[in-house]
Amino acid sequence: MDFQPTVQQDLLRKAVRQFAEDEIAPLVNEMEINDDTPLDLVGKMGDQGFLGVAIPAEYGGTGMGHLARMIMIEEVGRISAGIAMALQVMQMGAGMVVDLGSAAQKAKYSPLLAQGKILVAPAITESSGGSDLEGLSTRAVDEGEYYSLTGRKVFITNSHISELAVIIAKNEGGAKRDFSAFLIENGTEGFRRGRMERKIGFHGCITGELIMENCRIPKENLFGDKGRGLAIALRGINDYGRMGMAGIALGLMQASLEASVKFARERILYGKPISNLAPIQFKIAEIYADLEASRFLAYNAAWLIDQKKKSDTQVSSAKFFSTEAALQCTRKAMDIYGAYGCMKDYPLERYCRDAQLLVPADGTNDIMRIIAGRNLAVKK
Amino acid sequence: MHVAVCVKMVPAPGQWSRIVFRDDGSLQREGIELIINPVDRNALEEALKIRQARGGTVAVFSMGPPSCLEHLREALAMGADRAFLLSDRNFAGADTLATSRALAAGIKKEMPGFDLVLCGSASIDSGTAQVGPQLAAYLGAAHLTEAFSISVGEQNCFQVRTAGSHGYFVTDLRKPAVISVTKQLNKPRIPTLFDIMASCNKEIIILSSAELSLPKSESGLEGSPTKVRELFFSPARRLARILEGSMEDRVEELLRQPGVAGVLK
Amino acid sequence: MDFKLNMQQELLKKTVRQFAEEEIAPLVDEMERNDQTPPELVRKMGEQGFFGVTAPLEYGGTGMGHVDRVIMLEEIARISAAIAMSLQVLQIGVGMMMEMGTSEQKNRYSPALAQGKILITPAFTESSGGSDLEGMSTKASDKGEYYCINGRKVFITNSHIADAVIIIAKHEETKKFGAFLVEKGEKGFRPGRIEKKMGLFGCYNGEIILDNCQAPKENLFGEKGRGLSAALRGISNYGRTGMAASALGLMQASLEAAVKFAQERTLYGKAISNLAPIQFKIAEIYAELEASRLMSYYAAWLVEQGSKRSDTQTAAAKFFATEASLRCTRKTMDIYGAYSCIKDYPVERYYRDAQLLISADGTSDIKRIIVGRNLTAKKN
Repeated sequence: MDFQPTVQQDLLRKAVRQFAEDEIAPLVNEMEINDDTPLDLVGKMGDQGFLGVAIPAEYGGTGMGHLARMIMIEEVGRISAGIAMALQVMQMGAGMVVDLGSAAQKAKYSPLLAQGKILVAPAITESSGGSDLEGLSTRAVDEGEYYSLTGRKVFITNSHISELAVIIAKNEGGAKRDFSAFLIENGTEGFRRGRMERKIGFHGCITGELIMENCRIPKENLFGDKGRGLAIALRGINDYGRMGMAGIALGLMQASLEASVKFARERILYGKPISNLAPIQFKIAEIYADLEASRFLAYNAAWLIDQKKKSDTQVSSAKFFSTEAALQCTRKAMDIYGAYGCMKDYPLERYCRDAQLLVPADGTNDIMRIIAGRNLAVKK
Repeated sequence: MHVAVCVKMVPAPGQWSRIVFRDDGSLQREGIELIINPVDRNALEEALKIRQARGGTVAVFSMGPPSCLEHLREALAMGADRAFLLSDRNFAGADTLATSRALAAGIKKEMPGFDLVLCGSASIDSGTAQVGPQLAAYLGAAHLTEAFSISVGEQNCFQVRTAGSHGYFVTDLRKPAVISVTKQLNKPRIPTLFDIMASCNKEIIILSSAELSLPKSESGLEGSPTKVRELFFSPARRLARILEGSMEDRVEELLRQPGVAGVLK
Repeated sequence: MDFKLNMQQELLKKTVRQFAEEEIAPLVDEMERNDQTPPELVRKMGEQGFFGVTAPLEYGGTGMGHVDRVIMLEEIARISAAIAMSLQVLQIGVGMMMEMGTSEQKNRYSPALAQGKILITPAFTESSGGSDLEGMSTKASDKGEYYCINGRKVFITNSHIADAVIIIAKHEETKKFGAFLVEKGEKGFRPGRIEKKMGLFGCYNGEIILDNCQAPKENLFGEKGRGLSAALRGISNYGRTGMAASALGLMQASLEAAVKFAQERTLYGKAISNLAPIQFKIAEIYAELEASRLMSYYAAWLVEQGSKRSDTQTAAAKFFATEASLRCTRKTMDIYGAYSCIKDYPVERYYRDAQLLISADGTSDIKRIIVGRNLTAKKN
C-alpha cells in the first residue's frame, strides 16, 4: 500500500493547476453570464493533451490512466466545475471510441480525438429517465444499406459543440433489452441539435438536446457489435462518467476548503480572526475530513479501473459518497462566509450551485446506492 | 527427519454457490476465493511438531494454478522450510491419479530421502480421499489413512492410531511412510507476526511438468482415467409426517416408528 | 500510488483474522457478562507478537509499520472491539517506551514488553478533563532520591491489568509537565474503582490512585520537562490510528451482519436485499467503511513517513472513522429491525461499542479543533 503519488502524477497536478489558474480562471465570470463553452479554451486543453490523458499512446494520447485523469479533473474542477464537466464528458466520448470502436473507426477518428480536434458526445439519456433503460424509445431500423434512427436525446453534455455523437438506440424488432450504439456526425441529414437547457450551475458547460428524425446512418457507423449498446454505454459511464463526477466533487471540496481557510484567517470578529472560534474550526475540520475520505475512495476506484479489475461497486460508491460530501462541504464553506456567502462577488454560492448538479448526473445517487447495495447483498 | 506435506487449495466454503462446472466436469476456479484445505493444515502442523521434537526439514507440495501461490505463503508462514507449487497448463483437469502421479514426482525430485509424507484425509471439495493411498503406491511407501495420532517410535517406525467403528487400531508403520490424517490429530498453529516476517524471505519454487519429466499423456485431463460425468448438489430435506388421531392413537403410532421403538420403555 | 496490500499485509490480515475467530470469538459472551480481560488471551496475543508489532526487532518486536498495525487491529475489532481497544492502548505503552524511553528503560523492559509479558498502559486523564491539561492536578515533587507523586487518574484503559503505567504530572518545582513510569508494586500506587461502561466489555476502564507514590529517579520517562509532548506524541501516533482501526473493525462486522441478514430475511416473499431502502443502507455502510479505511491507512502511512501532516490527518481520521462507525452500526441495527434489540445478535453490541469510541483518546470535538487550528494556522 503506497500513498505516494508518482513523479508523473505530481507533475501533472502542478501543470494542470497552473493551466487552470492561468487560462480557465479568467473566463469564469464570463461563463457565469453567457453560459457558453469557450472553444478557444477547448483548443488549448486539447493542445495540452488533456483529452488524451487516459487514451493509449498508440492512439495519440499519453496513456497516463484513470487515476491521473482524476487528478486532472480535480484540478480543473477546483477552478471551474462547468469546464471540468465539459472536459470529463469529452474524455468519456473520446475514450469510448478508442476503447470500444472498430479498427476502422479508431483509425478514422484518433488521434484527432486525443488532441481534442474532434469532440464526441455520448448520448444515452431520454425523457423516460437516464437509468430506466427499457423506457428508451429512440429506434434504429435496419434498412439494409443503412440504419434509420429516430428519437430525441436530452440532457446531453456538450451537445452543441461536438462533431460526433454516440447514440444508444433500440434495435427495431429486437428483444426488450436489445440496444446498439451508433456514431452520428454533426451535419448528417435528419440529425440536429435541439434546445439548450438553462441550468442553475455548471455554467460554461452546454447541456442540450440531440434530435434524430429518420436520420440515415451508414452501416460502418454501427459502434461496437450489434446488440452491445447497453454494455458500451455502461462501460463509458462507469469508467469515465462516474469517476469524472467524483473528480469534480473533489475539486469543489478542495476549492471550498481553501476558501474557508482563507476567510477564517482574515475575517476578524470580537478582535480576533474567526479561525479561533470552535464552530469555524469544526466546519473546516469536517470539510477537510470529508475531502480526504472522498479522495482516497475515488482514487482507489480509479486505480481499480487502471488495474482492469472489477470496479462498479467501488465506482458507484465513490460517486455518491464524494458528490454528497461536496454538497455538504460547499454548503459549510458558504456558511463560514456568512452573508458574504450569498454575494455573487464570492465564489461560494457558485460552488453550492455546481455541487447540486453532481447528484443526478451519470446516474442519480439513489441509483448508485442501488448498484452498490445490490452487488453487495443480493445473492446471485 | 524429512517430512513432506501435501496440501490442496480448495474453494472457501462461502463460495461454493459461485462455482461453475465446465462441460468436461472440471471446475471453473477463476475468481473464486481459495483456502488451504482445512485438514491439510493438521497435516502440516504435525510435520512442524515432528521437526520441533526431532529436527529435520518440512517441505510443502501443492498442485494448482498460480493463484495458489499466495496460499502457499501461508504454509510457509506456519513454518514450513520450503514450498513447491506444481503448476503447468498440462496439469489442468487432473483426477486423483494424475494428481498423485505429479505429487509423487515432485517429492521424488525435491525430497528423495523423505521419511514421512503427511496429507489430509480428504479435501472438502471433491472428498475422494484417494490421493493419500495413490501417493503411497507411487512412492512405494507404507500407508495408513484416517490417523488421529502419530508418534515417532524407535527403530524407524511410526506408531499410528486410526479409528475403527468400536475403538481404534494401533499400528507400527515402517519408514518411509505416507499417512493421511484427520482433524482430531492436533490444533493447527496460527502464524505469529514473527513467523510472517520470517516467511517473506522464503521462496516458493514452481515446478513445471517438464521439470518433473511428466509427459502430457500422464498429466491433467489427458492423464486422467476417471472423468467426472456429472456434479450436482442433492437437496436434503427432512421427511416430515404429522400424526393424526387422538392422543392415545398418536402416542401408539409414535412408539411403533423405527428408531423410537425400544427408546421409550 | 498503489492500493494493493503487500504480501506481508495480506498474510497479516489472514492470520490475525483466524486468531480472532478461533481464540477471541469464543470468549465474547463471557466478556459481555463479566467485563474482564481474559489473562489467557493476553498471553496468547503476546505469543503471536501482537504487542510488539511496531517495536524494533532488537527489543523483541517485529518492526512492522503503522499501516500494518491498523490492519491487525481492524481484524481484532471485527470480532471484539473491547479486546482491540485494550490491545491498542497497551501498544501505546509499547510505542511510547520505544520512541521516548531512555536506553536503560527500554532494556529494562525488553523483550518482555514486546512479548506482552509486561503490560504498560498510559494514564493521563483526570477528572478535570482529558484535553484540559492546565486543569491537571497530579503533582510530582523532587525528593532527591525519588519523586513523590500525588493524584488520581480516571478513565484509564487497562487500569486493572497493567503492570506499570506512564503518567503525566506537573513538577512541583518547575510547574512543567513530566512523564513518569510507575510500577504496580510501588508504595502508594493502586488501581481504584472500575467503571461500569455501556460497552467495550472485556476492556478494563478504571481509576489509578497515586497516594504519596514513590517513583525512583530512573523512572522519569523520556527527558525532563518533555513529558507532555511525549504523551501527545503517543496519542497522536498510536492512539488515534488505534481508535480508527477499532472503528473499521466494527464497521466491517456491521457490513457483514447487514448483508447476511438482508440475504436471509424474507419479507413479501423475497429476501429483503431486493428492497431499495435496504440496498441504500448497505451501500452507505460500504462507502463509509471504505472511505474511512483508506483515510485511516493514509494517516498511518503518514505517521510511518514521519510527515508533519500526520497530526492533522490522524485527528481527522479518528473523528471521521469513529463517527462513521456510529452511523454504520446504527444502520445495521435498523436493517435487523426488532432483532437488533435482542442480545442474541451481535449488532446491538457493535452499536454500544461504537459509542465509546467517540470520546476516547480525545473527543471528536477536540479532534475537530485540532484539525481546524492546524489548517488555519498562519505560516510565518
